[in-house]
Amino acid sequence: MKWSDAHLTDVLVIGAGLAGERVAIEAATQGHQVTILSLVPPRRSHSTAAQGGMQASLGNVAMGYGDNPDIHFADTVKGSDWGCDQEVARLFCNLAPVAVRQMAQWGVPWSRVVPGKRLLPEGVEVEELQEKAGLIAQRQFGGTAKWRTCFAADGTGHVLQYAMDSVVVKLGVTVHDRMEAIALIHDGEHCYGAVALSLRDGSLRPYLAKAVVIATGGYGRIYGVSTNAVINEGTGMSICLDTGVVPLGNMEAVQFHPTGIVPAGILVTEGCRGDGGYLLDKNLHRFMPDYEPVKKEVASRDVVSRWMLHHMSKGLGVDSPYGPHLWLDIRHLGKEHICVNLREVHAICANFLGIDCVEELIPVRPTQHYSMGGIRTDVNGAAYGLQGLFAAGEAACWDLHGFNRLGGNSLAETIVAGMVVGEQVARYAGERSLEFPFALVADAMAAQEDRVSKLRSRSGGSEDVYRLRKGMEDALLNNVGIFRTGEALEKAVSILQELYQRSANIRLRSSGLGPNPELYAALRLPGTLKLALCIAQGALQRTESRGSHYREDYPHRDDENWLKRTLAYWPPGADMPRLEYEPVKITELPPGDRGYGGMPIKGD
Amino acid sequence: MYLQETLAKSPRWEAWMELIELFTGLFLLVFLQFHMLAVATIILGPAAFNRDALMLDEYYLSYIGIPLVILAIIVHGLVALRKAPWRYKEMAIFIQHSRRLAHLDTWAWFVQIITGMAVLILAAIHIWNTLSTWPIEAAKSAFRIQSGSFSNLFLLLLIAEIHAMVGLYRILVKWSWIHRQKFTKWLVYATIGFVALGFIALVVFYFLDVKGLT
Amino acid sequence: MSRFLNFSIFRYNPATPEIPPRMQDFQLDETPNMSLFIALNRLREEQDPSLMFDFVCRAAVCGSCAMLINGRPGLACKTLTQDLPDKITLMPLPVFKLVGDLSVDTGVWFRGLNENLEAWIHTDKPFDPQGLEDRMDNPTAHAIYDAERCIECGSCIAACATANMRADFIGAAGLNRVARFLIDPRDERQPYQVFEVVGTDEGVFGCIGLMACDDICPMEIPLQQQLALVRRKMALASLKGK
Ligand SMILES: Cc1cc2nc3c(=O)[nH]c(=O)nc-3n(C[C@H](O)[C@H](O)[C@H](O)COP(=O)(O)OP(=O)(O)OC[C@H]3O[C@@H](n4cnc5c(N)ncnc54)[C@H](O)[C@@H]3O)c2cc1C
Ligand code: HEM
Ligand code: HEM
Ligand code: SF4
Ligand code: F3S
Ligand code: FES
Repeated sequence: MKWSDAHLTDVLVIGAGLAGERVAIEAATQGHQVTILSLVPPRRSHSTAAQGGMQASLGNVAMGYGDNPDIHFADTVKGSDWGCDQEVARLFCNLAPVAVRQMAQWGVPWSRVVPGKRLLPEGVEVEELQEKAGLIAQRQFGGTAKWRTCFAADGTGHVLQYAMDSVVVKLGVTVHDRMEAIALIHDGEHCYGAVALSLRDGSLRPYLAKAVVIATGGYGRIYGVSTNAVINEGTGMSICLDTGVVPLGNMEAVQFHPTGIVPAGILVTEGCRGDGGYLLDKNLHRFMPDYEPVKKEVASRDVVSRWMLHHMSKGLGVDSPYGPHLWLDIRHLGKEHICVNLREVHAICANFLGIDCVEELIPVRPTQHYSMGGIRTDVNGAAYGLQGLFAAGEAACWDLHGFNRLGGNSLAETIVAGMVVGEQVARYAGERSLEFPFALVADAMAAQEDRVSKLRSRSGGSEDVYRLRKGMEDALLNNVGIFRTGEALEKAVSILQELYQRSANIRLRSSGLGPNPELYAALRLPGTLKLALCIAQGALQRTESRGSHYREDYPHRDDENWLKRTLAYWPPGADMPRLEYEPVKITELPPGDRGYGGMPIKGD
Repeated sequence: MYLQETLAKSPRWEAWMELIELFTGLFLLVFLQFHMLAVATIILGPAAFNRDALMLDEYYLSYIGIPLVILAIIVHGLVALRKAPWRYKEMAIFIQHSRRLAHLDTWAWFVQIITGMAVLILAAIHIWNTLSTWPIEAAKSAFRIQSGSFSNLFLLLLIAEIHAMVGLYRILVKWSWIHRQKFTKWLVYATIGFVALGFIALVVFYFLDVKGLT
Repeated sequence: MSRFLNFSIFRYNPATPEIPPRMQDFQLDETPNMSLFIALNRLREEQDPSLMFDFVCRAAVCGSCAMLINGRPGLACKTLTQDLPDKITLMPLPVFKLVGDLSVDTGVWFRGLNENLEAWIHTDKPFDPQGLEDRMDNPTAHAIYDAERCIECGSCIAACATANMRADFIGAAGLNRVARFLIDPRDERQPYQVFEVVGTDEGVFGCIGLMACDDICPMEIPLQQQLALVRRKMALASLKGK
């Protein structure tokens, strides 16, 4: 390593999605020099794929009049099945409207209220008032008492990310794309920066900063079939876990979205159901009202997904070469609505299914979608365990979502957390001076250089990285899905453990020189296997059902024993995570009934 | 930002060149189509043709019009060719790219450049011919056509019409708010119409009894 | 009726310059509903793990995976092999810097473009966290969204002969970006204020109306109309001055 290769900056933000960029903007406007690392150019981050919208209690539309942060708060806590941190939820609900309006000022073309009467698909007539004309429009999402989800047709994430990045460009924030952080530089107390791998040429480079922020998004791809982008492998979480002192929170809380298309697993937005779409079975029967008479298709995601699987297990799914699925029917919404407000859905159906959803049914099945768990932080976004390390967005367990995230709360979280955490990062960086701990940096670099050159020398064992990866995907998909049992989880843990051991013996088939995808995959795999183990082990230990975590052998929520958050640590050299627990902070709303999702529900 | 470019840059002129290209193109287009209609009066008989020629003469339209057209051709040619791939490397890239892409509109631009240069040569000869036997009379024209100009004029007809109509298409594409698909068909019909009319006129000239006229 | 597909794929690894750029052949059996995303991943996992290409969303929304598919730029993730002949040639996009094999660096290019165009909302209005949002009528919001849908995939740039010949041309994506800000009432810039950058031969007057961009844009952005809008506004600005 040449010392001159080191990149010095005040604030290092790892991840250029909405959360990362929002943090960067906050820190940069407060006068800090900020550098962002990203696997891909910021505008290709996974945030752009969000279609549906972002929740904020503006109360602009007829079905949302009277909405306020209190109602949003109650929805969020119920949605989380009381697993969220209520202090965080409160802060979040109060700030969400500010976030939406600021994004409007930065250029997001939110869809707007058009005054006049209109008929909802359910047959109810509503009137949008003249006095609200031109304000930001809102649509219905699952698990909410009011229509609260702000949207821009159905490319909400895209326009948010573009507006956000335009501010990053405006401020001249440095972005190094195709740079993957593969290890943190720390001494067990402070975090000083990260070692990054250039995906342009496979070289390594140290980044040093006063404060490091992880905003690397979710890990959906370790499930193989997921609505997530292929870059969502959770590497940001795994490098934190690697430190041995930073814990991951609630990794067993994995969200499955009800409507991933079959077989590609691409998401069609919850807006489809929010706007009045139905779920049908093989007899074209609309079954959700049978299970959830009040919320029907728009109960929270965990509940709808479970009922769908339950319904399919009764033999009422539609058979296909790719296994059974159900139908999503949006035909009755009309061509105009579909082609304007659900335009991406229309395109997805045309491109990946070859069907026209104005006239045909969409084959869907619950699909891995979101990770509630992540790097555990306090309300300020400061990670547990290391000073100077922060986390925000899907990568973090700030704990707004507990055991189930409401649709539309995640985009809002990325931006609100970006504001809040950015503020704290700026303050922290303002109080510290930049250090250059030569020995630490040299050691961290040497350790990574060693890994890379070992792989390139192809001297190790004989394991194939893609084969091991496939094993991990299958183990999770088959055993750590929507319906979980102790037996399956034990099996998953033992498979994953074995794979983790074998991952030390990977041998590249190619040279590993230059921008080599096999090398990258081999460097990532041990870390992702660790995440998989945290998920499986956390799920095995949690002997209750809460939100998305559903144990067929423990089908009820157990507040007495389990109103607590899992913290997974990975002690250096260990082959299993160490689990600890902390209480969940309840400030306003004591545990109660969600009002939907009656238990138990039978799987197969 | 580079010094040499900054000093040489005059954005106003870059815009004005574009407008000059547009208006000379439009002007020549209008001229050409009127000219085609005027020549086509031969179909109605030499008398009609001669009357038209005389009329233009009487109102001095020729004396203003002809120099104007010649000027327009020169200016138009110079301006329109400013973006042609003159350098060998550009040309090679263009050809390679267009072959790979197999895209009609991209080729159409190339056609525009080639036809433009062909028109320059053919029209120059043609204008020289007509002006050297001034004034315009059906008999003189017929004589020329029967004594060898037929194929040259037909070629000019074809090339000029293609160039003009592709030009009109490209103007609409670049400046109008109407979607291409809506007008492409009509432009093709119009081109065929004008070429047919011109061809008939040429045939009539060809079989015209020159001796009977003089 | 399953076919054998013959792929011919451009290979070059800058780390091994001694091996010159070349086309390499691969064979693969076709499966139902196979996209180039699936095909390329299988080739990488089963045949050549060093094969470089970029996918992120694999759902045609992120713009990462544009490449030349049988000569034409397109998004590989949404291209189904069933719509292609059994001989498939894949090459990286021209104009952009090559990272390796099918992977090109569009990110740096677009960042430069957006800096150059100052592609952000210019406004002096301070943000009031307590206030209501400014109103906008829904058709205006939709018109902005229409232009904003560009995913910066670079297909229009790669398809444009002008952009291929002239490195400094901002291309259809750039001009569309300009249109997006020109129609946005929140941006206080007047056309003459972007004239220096856009009303030039590197800008809209460099475009010679080849329309490959309009034919190829995978987001089906109405580029013909957007480009014409900018052209009219810039021509007008050149006549009016300030
Ligand atoms: C299909 C889909 C639709 C969705 N729709 C909605 C919706 O309608 N409403 C809603 O609220 N939520 C929605 N979500 C969820 C929401 O989009 C995400 O949770 C959110 O965008 C995450 O943002 P983020 O900034 O945390 O991470 P991301 O946007 O995922 O960004 C992660 C960034 O980190 C970078 N990165 C990752 N690892 C590294 C590393 N090791 N080194 C350097 N950089 C790294 C990546 O390059 C990327 O820039 C949806 C999710 C999916 C999958
Ligand atoms: C009667 C004669 C002519 C007519 C009616 C005519 C008409 C047109 C029209 C309408 C256009 C489109 C203009 C635009 O895109 O703005 C055009 C373009 C062009 N013309 Fe002509 N033209 C004539 C003669 C010529 C000649 C003599 C030349 C060459 C020496 C020429 C070269 C070109 C070229 C190269 C273009 C393409 C320019 C571009 O789009 O970049 N034309 N012409
Ligand atoms: C500006 C001066 C011009 C004059 C005075 C003029 C005059 C004439 C005359 C008299 C004829 C009849 C045939 C003949 O005498 O040869 C004719 C035919 C023709 N001219 Fe011109 N012309 C002019 C310019 C042009 C230009 C610029 C073009 C094309 C770009 C053109 C294209 C033709 C064609 C294609 C014919 C054949 C007509 C037919 O097929 O019906 N002329 N012109
Ligand atoms: S305009 Fe279309 S083709 Fe061009 S970059 Fe944007 S999405 Fe891609
Ligand atoms: S292809 Fe190129 S020349 Fe103009 S119309 Fe499109 S940018
Ligand atoms: S992978 Fe995102 S557009 Fe193809």
